[in-house]
Amino acid sequence: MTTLPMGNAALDRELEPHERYVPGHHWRNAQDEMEAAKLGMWLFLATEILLFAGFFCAYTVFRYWYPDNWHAASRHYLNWKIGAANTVVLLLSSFTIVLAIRGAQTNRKGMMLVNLFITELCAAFFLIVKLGWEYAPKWQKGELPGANFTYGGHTVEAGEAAAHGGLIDSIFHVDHGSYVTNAYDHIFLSIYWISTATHGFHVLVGMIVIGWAMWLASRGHYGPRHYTSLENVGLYWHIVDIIWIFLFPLLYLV
Amino acid sequence: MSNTPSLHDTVDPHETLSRDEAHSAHVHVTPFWPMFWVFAILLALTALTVWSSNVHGFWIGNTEIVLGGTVHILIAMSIAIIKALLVAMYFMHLKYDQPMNTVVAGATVFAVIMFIGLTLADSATRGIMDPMEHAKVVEGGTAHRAADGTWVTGKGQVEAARENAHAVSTNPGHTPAEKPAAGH
Repeated sequence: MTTLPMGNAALDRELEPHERYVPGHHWRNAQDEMEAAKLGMWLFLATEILLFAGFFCAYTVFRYWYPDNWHAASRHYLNWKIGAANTVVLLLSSFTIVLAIRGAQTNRKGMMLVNLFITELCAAFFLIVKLGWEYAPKWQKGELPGANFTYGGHTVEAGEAAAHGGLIDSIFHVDHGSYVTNAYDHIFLSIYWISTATHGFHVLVGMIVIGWAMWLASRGHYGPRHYTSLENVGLYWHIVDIIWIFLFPLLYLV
Repeated sequence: MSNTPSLHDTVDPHETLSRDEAHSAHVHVTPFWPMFWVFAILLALTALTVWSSNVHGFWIGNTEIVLGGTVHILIAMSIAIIKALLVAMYFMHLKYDQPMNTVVAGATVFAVIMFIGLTLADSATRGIMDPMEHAKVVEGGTAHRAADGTWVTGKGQVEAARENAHAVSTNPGHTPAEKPAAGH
């Protein structure tokens, strides 16, 4: 099935893999195959949403029980500017992966590769900010989940805060001030850590599959006739974005 | 989609589409500008969410409308739902897809609403429905029945452990509190 399509007899170059693509023999045509693959991807995304629904459910219950504690913990432990920066970056990456798919549909390899690369950069930015400027300082200060919470009663001085936060404090002007811990701070931080760490793991997996899509794209596997896996990588990436759309206001802005 | 006649085109077990119909089937090409505007609206809504979280009230004439924490959550979640719908409809092109994908997404959202809604209905009304269960279950660890037969609200186990640890660290001579005996 690798013969030239009719009407391209004058073509004097070797066909790219996406031009030679033939759907599996049990499919009526390539479109049916792609629709089925997308439906399968949506079923997988449904399980992803339900996974995070567990965290959202825990959040809802504890927010209902301890609203004041929640507000104080959110304002003290989390910096909305970092969350907002990561939100913008994820939205941008969703937009660029849409453009990458447009590149495949319109047979523009450069557009596809550039946009996938920008998506990859955004994902890396997200993870570096998350690890370097949220997780690492939190780990040092003992703002840890559940029984590992050791931040209790400690008042951070201004000079000490700068030493802990370093560069990001000078950029985002984190005001640690004095803070008295509340009874349920460790529960807020438990939900913060488990939900953002699971989300961050999904971003990491996203970087891997986007990298894989870039490799396939560079080798000519995606074009107007065939871009199924690129489409599904895009769907996955958008779900990661949607989950962050909910996590950001719930954790950083309550 | 292939122009090349092949076995699976000629032997169509479903006989629902002729080959020509299959070839002319609509494939949606993602347009640039609508997607760009969706992206711009998403950014604007993010800014609106951040801004609204800092609005604690406003005046209409001589009447002050105070926005509490629950109102803020409702505002932020409403905006987040609009953003998620935009991403799903346009970026994930549910708007242009086979309706079955929307059915899957809708069923999932329904399941999430049931999950969180029923859990909240339970935990939010437990004290009303059964005060005894409320004291026993919600507070965990050290809740107990007092000598006069009433239920005494206790502390959660993690909370009690933390308080003990903190008391020991700040006061080395401190002996950790024991779990109160019944009738304490």
